[in-house]
Amino acid sequence: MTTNYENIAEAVRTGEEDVVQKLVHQALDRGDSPQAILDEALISAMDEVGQLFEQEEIFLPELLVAANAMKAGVEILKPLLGEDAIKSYGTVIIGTVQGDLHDIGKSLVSMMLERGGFKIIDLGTDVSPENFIQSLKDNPETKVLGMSALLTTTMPEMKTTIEALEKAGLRDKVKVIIGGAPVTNAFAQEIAADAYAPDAVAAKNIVRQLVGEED
Amino acid sequence: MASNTASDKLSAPCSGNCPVDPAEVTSDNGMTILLDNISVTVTRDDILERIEHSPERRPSERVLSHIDSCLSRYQGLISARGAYAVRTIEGNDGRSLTLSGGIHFDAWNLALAFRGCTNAAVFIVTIGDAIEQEASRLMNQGHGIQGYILDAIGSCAAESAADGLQAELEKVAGNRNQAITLRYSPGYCGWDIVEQKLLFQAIDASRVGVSLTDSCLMLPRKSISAIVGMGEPGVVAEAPCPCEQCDNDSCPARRMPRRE
Repeated sequence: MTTNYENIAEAVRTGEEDVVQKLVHQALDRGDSPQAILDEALISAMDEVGQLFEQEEIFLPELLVAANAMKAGVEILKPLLGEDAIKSYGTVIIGTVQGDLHDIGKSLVSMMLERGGFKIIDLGTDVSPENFIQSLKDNPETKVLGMSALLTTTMPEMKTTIEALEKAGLRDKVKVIIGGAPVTNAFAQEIAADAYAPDAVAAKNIVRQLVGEED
Repeated sequence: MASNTASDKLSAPCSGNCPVDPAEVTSDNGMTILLDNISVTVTRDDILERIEHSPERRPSERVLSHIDSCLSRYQGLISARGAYAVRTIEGNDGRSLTLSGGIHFDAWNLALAFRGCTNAAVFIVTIGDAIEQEASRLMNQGHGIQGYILDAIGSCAAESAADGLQAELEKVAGNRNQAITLRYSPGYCGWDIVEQKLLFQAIDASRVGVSLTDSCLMLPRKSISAIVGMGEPGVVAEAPCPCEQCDNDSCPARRMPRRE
């Protein structure tokens, strides 16, 4: 990693949006490839921040501050890269299941996946099995479907959605990952989901494994 | 379920405009009493506790700056109000609790904690939906830290409003020479969240603008429903805490260690 990239990464880690923007502009001015800046400085820094979070060296707010700073850099690169270049790992459809309106946790997962190099189709909250299926049909390149539930009363909707995927002949087209406060790994196995993630950073890492792009 | 809580804080003052003098509330028929403009206070320490920062592990100055920035504007995004209804406890068999009106809670924790109580007060508070909408808007625009902190402030504000209403209930009980227990909410302490529907039968929630979905989610989401027991002060003081018998050691609402 060049000194400039190390500086960009450090500014991401400390959440200094203005410094990130300045250093990204400097790198572009000297002729660096936007993709290299994205991969080697920004995404790499977020991965490192994610590891610190997993090791409980930092807490979620610091992770989010870093994510904000990374976004500041990505916004500069986006017009130069084009949408597709940023979506290097594939498409993930995500939503909170039918009957449930909690969206903060789901949005955090969306954000971490997006910062981790995925294209995100966020269907929002109260998403019916039919809506999940329609979105999958509309976006056949989708590799992973993520479902969130924050209530014990809405968790069964995850099973209902997986059964609907099977009926629609789509179950083997996507990997299914689930999460949310009352959700457990045992529940994921019980309803035949492919994975369970306890938090947003874990979700990013597990989704990468699911699509064969392990760290 | 995040908006349901079972905190035991009793500190926040209530400046609610109660239309009925608490001293006159002697009927236990479940009449819903409304309280508007409940005073709500959220501090930086409240937020740090909510987002799991301990005094030994302070977050970065940048995070603190975001917290302070959000705290400077949250009051304009909340409108705290609440309501309560006092009912007679008609049955307590040690495993379940029956209130006047035939409302039967299959909740061992209530039966235990309300042992010896003669009445129960059901209450609901809300801070409205403006803050949750703003938090979602920020989050969806990619401002994760601001959305996350504002959502945490909303949760703390709802707790503060519940504290305020609970303080009002202490006054109501005091006027009857009674004391109140800690508060308990469906979804906590092993109390099935489905019984939220029964709790909503015990009070006219529409008067405070809170509704319940089929999946037992309160709308606005930053709302808290709960029940407290009322009884002779000596009886209430000696009431056992359900935490002593609960095996959920990781419960964030745990008030004391499990008794071995």
